[in-house]
Order: sequence, then C-alpha cells, then structure tokens
Amino acid sequence: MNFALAVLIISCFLCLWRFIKGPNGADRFLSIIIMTHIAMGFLGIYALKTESEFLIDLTIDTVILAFVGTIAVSKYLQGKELDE
Amino acid sequence: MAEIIIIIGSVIVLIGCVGFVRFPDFYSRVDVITKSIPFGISVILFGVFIKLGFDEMGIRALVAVIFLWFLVPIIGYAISKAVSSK
Repeated sequence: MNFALAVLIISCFLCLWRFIKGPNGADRFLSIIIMTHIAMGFLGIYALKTESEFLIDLTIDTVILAFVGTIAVSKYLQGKELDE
Repeated sequence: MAEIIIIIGSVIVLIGCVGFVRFPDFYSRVDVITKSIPFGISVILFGVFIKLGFDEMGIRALVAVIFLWFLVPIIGYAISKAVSSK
C-alpha cells in the first residue's frame, strides 16, 4: 500500500511538470484539477490505513469542489458571466 | 486482494499522467486524462470498499465513485468547449 502511495506521488509530480511547462492557462488549470483527483485517491488510501471516518467524507467533498471550480473557470476562459 | 487492486489502480493513474505529459495537443491531453483518471481512482476506491465491506465507510467510498463517474466527463466537456469557443 506504501507502493501505491509512492506511485501516486510520482504521477502528481508529472502533473506538476505539465503545470510548469504548459503553453496555455487551460493546461495549467487542468493539471491542478488532476492533482486534486490524485489527492482524492490519497485520502481514500489514508482512510483505509488509519480507519478514520471523516477522511472518506473528504473524498466526496473534494470531487464536488473540483467540479464547481472547473465550471467557474471555464466560464472565465470563455469571457462570460456565470449565469449565461 | 484489496492491496493488489489498489496498486493496479495507482499504476493506471501513473500511465494516464505519462500520457498527460507526452501528448502534443490540448484536446488529446484532455481526452487521455479524463478517461484514465476516473478509471484509476475508482479502482482505488473500489479496493477500499472491498477492504472495508458493507460498512458505513465502504458505502461512502461507493458514493464517491458514483460522483466521480458523473462529474469528471462534465469537466472534460466544459473545459474543451471553453477553449474551442474562445
């Protein structure tokens, strides 16, 4: 299970490299969203290791917060307001 | 059993992130990352569910998997449409 945590850390660093090198703003934002979902896998594995309940609630909260932030930033990239 | 499933899911996430670094175009990057990440993370959370069983924590892991399957394709659609219609 520690091996799975190490592999998730390596993939998070690959997303960080895309964040540094990415040509657009959309690439950088997408890499931040992918790092959020990788953190969701981290929370699942840590909830299994430590047998705590609120970490497995935080996985649901993390995916909903990533969705709402993505909708707001995609409206910003189009140059529109939030209600159109 | 559950540890093997969790390791398989993390390797799927690693393969998707290698594709996210290596692909040349923005739309191909969106395609590869919005297919591989929900599959890998849902395999990890399904391993957590197998280890915990039909407890109240295991049911929350399944609810997180269902939210992931519904919301991540909408993320890919929204951000690619925002880039294409700029």
